[in-house]
Amino acid sequence: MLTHAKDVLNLAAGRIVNATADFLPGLLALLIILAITVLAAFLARAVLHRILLRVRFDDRATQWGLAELAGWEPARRPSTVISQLSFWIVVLLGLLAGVSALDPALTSVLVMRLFDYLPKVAAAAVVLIAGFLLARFLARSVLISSVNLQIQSARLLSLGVKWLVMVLASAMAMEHLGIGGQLVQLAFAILFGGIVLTLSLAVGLGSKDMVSRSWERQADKSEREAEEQFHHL
Amino acid sequence: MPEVDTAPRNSRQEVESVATADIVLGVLSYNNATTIAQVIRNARHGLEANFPGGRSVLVHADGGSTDGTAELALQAAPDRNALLQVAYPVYPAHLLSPDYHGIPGKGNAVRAVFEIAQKLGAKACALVDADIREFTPQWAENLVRPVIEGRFDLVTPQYLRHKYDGAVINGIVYPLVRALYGKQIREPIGADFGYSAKLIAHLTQCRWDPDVTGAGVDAWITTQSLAGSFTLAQAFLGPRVQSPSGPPLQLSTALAQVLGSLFTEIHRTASTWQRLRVSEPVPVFGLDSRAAPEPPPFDAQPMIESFRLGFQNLREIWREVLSPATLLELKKLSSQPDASFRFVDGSWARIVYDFALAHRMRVMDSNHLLRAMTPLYLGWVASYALEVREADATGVEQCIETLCRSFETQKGYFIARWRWPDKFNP
Repeated sequence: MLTHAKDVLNLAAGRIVNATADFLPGLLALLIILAITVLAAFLARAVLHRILLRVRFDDRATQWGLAELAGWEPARRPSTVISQLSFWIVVLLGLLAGVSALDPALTSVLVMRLFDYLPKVAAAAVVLIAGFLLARFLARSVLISSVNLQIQSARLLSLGVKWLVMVLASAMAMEHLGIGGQLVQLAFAILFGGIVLTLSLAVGLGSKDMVSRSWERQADKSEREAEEQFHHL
Repeated sequence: MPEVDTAPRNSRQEVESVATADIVLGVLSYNNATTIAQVIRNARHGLEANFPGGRSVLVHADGGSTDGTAELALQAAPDRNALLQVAYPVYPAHLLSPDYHGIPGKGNAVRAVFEIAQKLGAKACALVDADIREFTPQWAENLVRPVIEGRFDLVTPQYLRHKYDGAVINGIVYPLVRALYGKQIREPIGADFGYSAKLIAHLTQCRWDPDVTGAGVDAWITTQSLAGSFTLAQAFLGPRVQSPSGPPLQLSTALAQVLGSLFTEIHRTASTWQRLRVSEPVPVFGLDSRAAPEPPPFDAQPMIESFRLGFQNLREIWREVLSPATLLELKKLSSQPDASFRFVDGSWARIVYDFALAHRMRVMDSNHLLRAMTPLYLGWVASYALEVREADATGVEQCIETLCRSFETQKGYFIARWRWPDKFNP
């Protein structure tokens, strides 16, 4: 009995030792790959950062409105964020390569899933970027037009338009990614409907007199301008 | 250069009967039924009375009026062979966004008249808009005579205005064109011009870009003449009282059109104006001694409020265009009391130059950029109006002259920024 138990224990210990002996080189390889990858990632980040600085990417991003939209400035400049992103992409690739040293099957499954998901991520990124650019353009249009129409709450209007478009873009992006499912759509519909209803009630009930006074003022102004015959051109 | 696709309204015999002409006077219209007959009659009378020896032809270019303008023009013409009518192409885009001068697709109308003038071998051509209520025969004479007798190539108009009228011209267009191109033309983008055959031959050979067919045609023709070796004169035409066919354009839209066309031309002719340093007077024909009309009562307070509202809300946009020093001046200005609200001439000149440069550099969407200038312009108008409130005609001229000199002084700043935009980052 004791002998049998001893044999079983020896066998188990042997298996563990064998499994550890099998696993350790893979782990070592993973650690080596990771170390090299981290070094490569640091190098990639430094090179990319230098290139971006040389082509004045920060200035261009500010001109395109990317910096303002993503809220990068002034704490984190666009060039820093992008080079940091490159660092993590290289580390992620290294991790995948390292895992393949441990278990090639697991890596291939992970890679397959990642590649399945990538088009959705790309589509969501495009929707998000387009939405952010559109939000900025519309916000600026509303701000300038409102100021030229002498609307005191121009900034508030512009901010409202900007966030509305950004929320819409985010909801669309999340739908592409499959995050939240119907919940995001429902939340957006409730939010959007709520805003419209609030505005309708505010104008219809609360600000009825103010709106009519505003229209009267506008009409008076047009008449006065016509009477004054003040031609700018 | 392919010809513009026009459709003659006259019969073939009528067109063929007009083989040659010494003078062509083009009348451009769009829904101007109230004024077209008077303009046609007075134009005809002006040409016959003042140029009896020469054969003159009226060309009526209409942009698809729906109020019977074309029929009324025909009725007003005493001789059907002396009035050619053409319908020039007007595209939906021209109708969707009306131009500040009220003639949709004006560039095509101008081109149609030029081509007819060329075919007829005209020595002189004049163009007037049909919306003028007080068009007199004198207008036709004053626009054509400098071309026929003085051998001038371009005759620009000069109108009798009250002191607050035409603030865009007095505050931006005139000082800017004078400083950059070295010619003291009071109305560089006025609506009524006279042209020589030489200038028309040059213009018809040029490329007519889509932006030239819209609001920018007047600025384009003037800058083409200034950049080329053409001689210029001015014709005093008296008051220009319009009878507009549609509702007036919003100020920001009109300002964006005028500045957009002007800044585009400044970009196109950059090699020319960078060489010029001083400005010279341009002869004026047909001056009369009438006093300027009395101005309407003017309240600067709403314009100052517009400027302050703009400063509160558009600072981030202006920051992309203007220098920190200018922004600091604007900040001080926004907190000044109404009575002492004054724009410094040099600052205003730099602001205009900075916007011209930002337009060239495409710092932001062109429409946003140009419309964002409206509160600044209103601030300048308020300051100008307060300054000339008690001034007589001489005082007003002195004020405009001082502003023009500031634009000329600041031209060095503009050239430096134009040549090395990267060295200065607002």
